[in-house]
Amino acid sequence: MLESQSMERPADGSPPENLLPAIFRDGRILQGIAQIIFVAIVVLVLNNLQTRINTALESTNQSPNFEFLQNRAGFDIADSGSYSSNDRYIDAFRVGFINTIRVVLFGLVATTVLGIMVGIFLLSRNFLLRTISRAYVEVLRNTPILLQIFAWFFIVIFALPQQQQSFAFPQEGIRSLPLMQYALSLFVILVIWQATGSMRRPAWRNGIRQVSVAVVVLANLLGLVLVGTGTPIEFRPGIYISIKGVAVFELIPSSLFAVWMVFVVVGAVVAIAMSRYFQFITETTGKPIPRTRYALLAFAGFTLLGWLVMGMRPTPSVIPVLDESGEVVEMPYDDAFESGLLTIEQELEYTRQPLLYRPPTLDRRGRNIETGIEISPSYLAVFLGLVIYTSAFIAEIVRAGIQAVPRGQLEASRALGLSQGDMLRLIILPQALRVIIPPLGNQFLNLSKNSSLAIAVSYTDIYQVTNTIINQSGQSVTGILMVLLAYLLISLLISLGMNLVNQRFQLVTR
Amino acid sequence: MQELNQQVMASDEPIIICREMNKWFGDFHVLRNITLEVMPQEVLVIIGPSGSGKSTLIRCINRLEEHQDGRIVVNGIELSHDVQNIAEIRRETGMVFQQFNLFPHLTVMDNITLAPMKVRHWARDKAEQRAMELLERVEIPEQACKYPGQLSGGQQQRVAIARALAMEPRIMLFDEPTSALDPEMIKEVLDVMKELALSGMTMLVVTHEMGFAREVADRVIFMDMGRIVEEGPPENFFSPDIVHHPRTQEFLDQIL
Ligand SMILES: Nc1ncnc2c1ncn2[C@@H]1O[C@H](COP(=O)(O)OP(=O)(O)O)[C@@H](O)[C@H]1O
Ligand SMILES: [Mg+2]
Repeated sequence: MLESQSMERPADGSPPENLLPAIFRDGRILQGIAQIIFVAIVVLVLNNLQTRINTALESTNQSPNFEFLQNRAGFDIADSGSYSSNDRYIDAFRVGFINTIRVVLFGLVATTVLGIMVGIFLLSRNFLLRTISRAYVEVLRNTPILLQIFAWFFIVIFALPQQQQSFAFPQEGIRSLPLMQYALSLFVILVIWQATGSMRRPAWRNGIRQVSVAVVVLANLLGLVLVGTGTPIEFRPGIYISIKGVAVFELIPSSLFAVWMVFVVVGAVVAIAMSRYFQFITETTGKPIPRTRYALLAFAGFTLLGWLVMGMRPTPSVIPVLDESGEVVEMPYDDAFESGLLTIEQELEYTRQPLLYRPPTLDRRGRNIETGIEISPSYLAVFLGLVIYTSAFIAEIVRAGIQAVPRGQLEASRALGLSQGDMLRLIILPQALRVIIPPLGNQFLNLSKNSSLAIAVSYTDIYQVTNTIINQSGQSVTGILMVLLAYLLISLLISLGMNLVNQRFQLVTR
Repeated sequence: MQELNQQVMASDEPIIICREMNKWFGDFHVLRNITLEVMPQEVLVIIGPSGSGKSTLIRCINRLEEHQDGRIVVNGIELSHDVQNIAEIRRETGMVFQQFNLFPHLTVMDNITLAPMKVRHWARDKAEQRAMELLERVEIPEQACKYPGQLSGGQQQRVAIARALAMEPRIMLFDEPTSALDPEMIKEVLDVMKELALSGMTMLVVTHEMGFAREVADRVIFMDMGRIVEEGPPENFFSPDIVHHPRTQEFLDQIL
């Protein structure tokens, strides 16, 4: 064999005769030439395409430019905040962009949480939970998302009551609540929790805790009043749900908000510093400290303290308000507040709370929402459709990621005596996340791009708005280009974020 | 050394007791009426054909598998559903697996210090110092900062032994520690195990290395179909003059 091969070669061992000079047989040079040819072809094709489009558009007097963006839009947009048809095209475009971001941003958060939950349920030992979540995944990922968005839209339209008969939470009315008893119940639970903390047997400790919490909660839920008397409390709905969508209360930052934020930020800094310090103590002495719990307590403490300190601010002794007869009268702030005569501006200026709670209210005819945040049926349909569809894929990714951690890793952790929590946090998660993050990023991109299906239920996202702009102005090339760039921007931001996260977890390996 | 061990053993209580222990996987009866006592500092080698339940037996001792019938008492602690007892027994037993099972996302050092810091609540300094001593004992101190994927099989298994020893266990369980290794690496791992046996560690070793069994074991047990078929000192086991149980003889004929 060997001999017959070497037969073809000249006896002196020099390479066989070749038609091409050596330089054209160098792999690196061949690759370079191929790349140059490829780029040249692409440039030629694109150039040709652009010339043709330009000529075609010029002949119909529609040559692409951006000046038309300053013209009056002249059309209304649902879900548009302060935008009106008198604003410019560019404003309409911005509204569309913000609406897309609203769906994508909240959608990503919601679908991740939901997907992780379902993914863990898929691995549950509980047969019912496992089967239900498996069915959830199979149904959702095997039907088209467009259909699902329609389905949600029709559920909202057909299954929910008219606006006048909205579902309201909590139900309006005055109810009597035994506040003393609630406080006492909480105290009792805390005492039991603390007292059982030193018990050696976790099974007993958890048993006692669970039973006592269940008893106390059940007694309260059944309306058993054993201690004190009820305090009448007036409830006003914070959420309305109807065929017109959802109306939710608002929290509006008041003039005190900035000062309160200082407390919040200081609280965060203290919490981080404490956590670091306790970690240092644990590392040097080995003493275990529940540092996350202490850090959260410190943060909550500062936030609450800020709120209380803000409550001590003096209010003006007299303030001018319009009384019922429409005359300007001066009265103390608290009286004006009680009688409901303050304007929202005055309230925001002089209140003692950093955030003002404003429940949703309907106008006199019960049709439109006056205060509070309004969420349209279209938004709900798109949001639910995207979130629930994508969550099925994320659930599978999470399940696969966790299952990709070999059994041996769990066995080694158990054999070493690691607790369930440490095993999950230190062994399973870091290894599972390495597998989960790259495909998770793909699902994020899918969700953001699928949001363009909003047009199916007339949600005014960037694509829907731009479509209208194009129809009115005829600026199709510019319009499409702008939508393209907008989606590209969103996608690149998501990719960037995921790459950063990915790097953190990949670095850990080798 | 050997004589000293015998004395200690004679005066002490068994450190592992299995009484009429049974285990099933579904309908499959894997372990049948296992009764076994292991003395402190004893080296017990378990041999037997594949599927005879050797792994399952030693995995029951640290509750990686749950037995359904009979008793297991380890280091004076009864093995039951009590999670506190399970945790205590796992602290006192180290285990070395056929597939090493090192944590691939942690350095060798972190692999070794993780459990002492999290479970025994040692300071990092103490844990790292102990880890270095152990790495020197298994003769790879220079690998401390590497990741498991960067080591040879033999080195990985030695790290796994160091990791188990870092918890300062009273008992070490070995499940075919050399079966996944290339021949030239088997010796380096066996040497570490020999040294460990000489230092007085109580060891249960599932292995096919008959040389190791002959040289190091205090007692050999032969398992077949979930039963302990025969047990005795290695001299007897490997002596050609002794009349064995037919299954044992068949197995020994194949392997020797
Ligand atoms: N988790 C399990 N589920 C079902 N059967 C198992 C499981 N683990 C082991 N077995 C079975 O139990 C028997 C004993 O296994 P094992 O203890 O691993 O044997 P050995 O280590 O002696 O080769 C084998 O027949 C094996 O197939
Ligand atoms: Mg085995």
